[in-house]
Amino acid sequence: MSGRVEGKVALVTGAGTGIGRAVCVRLAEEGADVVVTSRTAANVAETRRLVAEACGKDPVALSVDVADRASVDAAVDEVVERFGRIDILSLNAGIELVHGPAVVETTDEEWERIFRVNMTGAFYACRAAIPHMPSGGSIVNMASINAFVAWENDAPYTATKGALMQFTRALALELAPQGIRVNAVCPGVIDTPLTDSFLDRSEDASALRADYAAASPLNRLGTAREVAHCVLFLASDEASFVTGTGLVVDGATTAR
Amino acid sequence: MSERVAIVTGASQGIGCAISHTLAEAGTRLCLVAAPADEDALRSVAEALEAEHLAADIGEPETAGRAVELAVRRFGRLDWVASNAGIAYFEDVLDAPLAHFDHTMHVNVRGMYLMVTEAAREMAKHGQGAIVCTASTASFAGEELQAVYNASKGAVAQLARSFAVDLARYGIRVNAVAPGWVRTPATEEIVANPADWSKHRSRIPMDRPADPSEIAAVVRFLLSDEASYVTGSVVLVDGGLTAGYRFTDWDASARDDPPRAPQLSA
Repeated sequence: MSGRVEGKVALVTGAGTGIGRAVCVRLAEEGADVVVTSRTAANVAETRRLVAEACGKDPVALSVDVADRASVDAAVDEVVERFGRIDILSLNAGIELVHGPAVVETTDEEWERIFRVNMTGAFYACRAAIPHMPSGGSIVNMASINAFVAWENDAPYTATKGALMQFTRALALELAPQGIRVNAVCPGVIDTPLTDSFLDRSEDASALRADYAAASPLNRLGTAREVAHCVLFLASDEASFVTGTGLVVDGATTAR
Repeated sequence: MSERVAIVTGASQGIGCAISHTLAEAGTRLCLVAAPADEDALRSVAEALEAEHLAADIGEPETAGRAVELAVRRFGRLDWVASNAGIAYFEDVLDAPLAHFDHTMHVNVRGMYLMVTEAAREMAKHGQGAIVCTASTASFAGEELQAVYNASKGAVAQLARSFAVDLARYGIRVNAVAPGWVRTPATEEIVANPADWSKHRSRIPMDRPADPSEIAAVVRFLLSDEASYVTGSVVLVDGGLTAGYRFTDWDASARDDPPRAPQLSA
């Protein structure tokens, strides 16, 4: 059986851990030529190993800092040189301010840093990649349920995800005439290293973890692979009429 | 995907027919339901897909239970439901008779409620199941000349969210798919008339109606185990219609080669 994204070239950011890593593996399992990118070389190497293990083919892997325009442009150039095009752009690079500063305590540097990674990074990647995306291409941005609902002490992150969702909608309108679809995946609380970073800071990690689980009527966190399934779906031709949408994968957290 | 058993309502034509074909291609055993007036079309879909069928009014209390009973008796289980049956009247709100309000709510809301609850009673016994309700972009917008339909689809989206919350404890996922314009028997007159259609297509960034198979592909994903953490979601499948506003007024004659749906492999 041929894969659901067979032969497509997929550039994945934030691929060093968590959701981005799972996306790389899932796309590779379904036949994509995955390009693994992340800021941290050691994480890139580990995802590269996992992708090779999943599909038997060593993927292209690059250290890229999405907050650095030159780094993003160079990565896109390298992918285009190697493959001639980009069919799937899966943008997962994102950070949190895990110490949860109140707005009045948030520094300029913190505010600018989180917007630079979570929002400007997606803009850099889209701007560089779109000229190389053919009709049938698909961009999948990793937003969050925080695009729709807010959490206390998380205003900067919430604002970046709201911005990314609206960027997704606007870009969907802009690229529809070219046959390129643009969507977001909006996860709830997912069991990833990013979530662990909150648990690690907590006085009672198991109690906080239980609270996170209880946010969903399913009473559990989602897995990175469950989110990756959603990215695969939106990236594939199965979603051929889906554009400008946020696919919520949150175990009904925001339904109630 | 291992063999699953599904009920599809509104299966005689349009989106429901496409869902039936898509699920059958994935190896699903089917129990198909449609209104008595559509029995001939329903029977031919069922024969083509080697499916069971039931022609009955989904808004009547016994219909959903009969469909569940038929699926379980014939195939031994019930895994999935595509609760899709729906009707619409397009008319000036001041001319609309109360009977149209009652009929729309009877099928779209009462029928949806009955089908999901009956199916969930069976699924709850086994602690698993997945249900997808057909909502609409009309769940969110006051679309022209269809006030009652819009209200009924708003109710469908709320039922889907509420069922997702209440049925999670039984291991049952519930989501909705919200199509925009789809080329179906219900819309073909509008889509085929350039004067009518140019007005609507100017709002659709993808500049075309969906093929019913493109809605069915989303339903299949939401039913599948891959959507295991997706519940309580209303998934728009509208070619960008509700993402925003376009101010480009497409003239239907301006493009010789309007975009069409790609041919999807099974």
